[in-house]
Amino acid sequence: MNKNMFSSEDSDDSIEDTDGVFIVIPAFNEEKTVGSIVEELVRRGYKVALVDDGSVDRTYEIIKKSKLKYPNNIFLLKHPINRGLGAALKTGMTFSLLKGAKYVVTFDADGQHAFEDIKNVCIPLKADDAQVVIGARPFEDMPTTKRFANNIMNLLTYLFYRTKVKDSQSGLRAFKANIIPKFNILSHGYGVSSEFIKEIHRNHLKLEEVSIKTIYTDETQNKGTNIFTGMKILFKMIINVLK
Amino acid sequence: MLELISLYKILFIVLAILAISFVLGIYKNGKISMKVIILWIFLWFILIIFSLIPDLTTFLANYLGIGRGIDLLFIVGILGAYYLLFRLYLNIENINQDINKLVTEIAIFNENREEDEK
Repeated sequence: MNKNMFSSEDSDDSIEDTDGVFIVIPAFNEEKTVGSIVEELVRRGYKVALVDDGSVDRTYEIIKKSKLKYPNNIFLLKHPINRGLGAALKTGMTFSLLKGAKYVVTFDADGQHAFEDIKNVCIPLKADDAQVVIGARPFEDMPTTKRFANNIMNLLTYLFYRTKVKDSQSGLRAFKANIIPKFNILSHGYGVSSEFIKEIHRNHLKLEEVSIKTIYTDETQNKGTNIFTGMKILFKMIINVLK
Repeated sequence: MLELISLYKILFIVLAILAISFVLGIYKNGKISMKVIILWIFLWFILIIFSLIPDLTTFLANYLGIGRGIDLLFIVGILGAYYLLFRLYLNIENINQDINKLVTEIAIFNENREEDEK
């Protein structure tokens, strides 16, 4: 058992069982935040599979250094070319399965998620209440344009995939390892978030949504779901229906 | 008027022959498949036939209830072009999926190799 001994924040964390929990972090040019996030996760006892999606900044070098410190807990997967969020998640999840993960959690590299929420999204999986958990960000905290874009995406996800969710575009998700091979993910970019919902629906998987915190910084403001990515995702959804 | 018509007839036929020989040239170099070649040659032959017998388009148009022959050509042309665009989109999408698979394989292979070297 790999009990977490290093936790500093709240006492609840110290009894968390992190055995078999793999954190998949897709990173594209995240040199400012990625190093501290990965090292903190390892200190908390998780295994981290970081996917560097063809970054042109120092993301790779930074994690390479962290890997020297924690060679058994950090895995560094480098895409030689940028292939988008969907492809990066696929690489990380496939790899975690090969390494014998029991639970796979996807986590954004920009520092918008709180570390304690990993435990929260894993609870329903470990209790067998769900096969997939999505961490729903509170929309009230979002800036207006983001909230609007995310609301539209929820509506589109509902219209196309007949599944109502609180937050279809969240980057914090947790999966039981045995269901991952059922996912047929074709999106390259941000469309992958809605595609997960579609696959959950198609495979009749038990989904639970857990409220999570969102930390808004300048970095987290610039990426993610805005009107343009929304339009792109809509176009892809239409094409996928026609295919 | 007669001169004008024959001019476009000649132009079209020359164009079609050029196109066919161009496509055949590519085929000789082995860059495209037999299926595509036959489709292209077939399309250009139809164009030759229509330029030689323009009344044929009018006849077909009337038969289908579309006013003029040239309208029929436009409709068929635009629909055909859209179909080709869609096929192209699907092809590119497939290639993208293949690239993704390769990139995933490469990333996992490299990480496993480094682990083994340790």
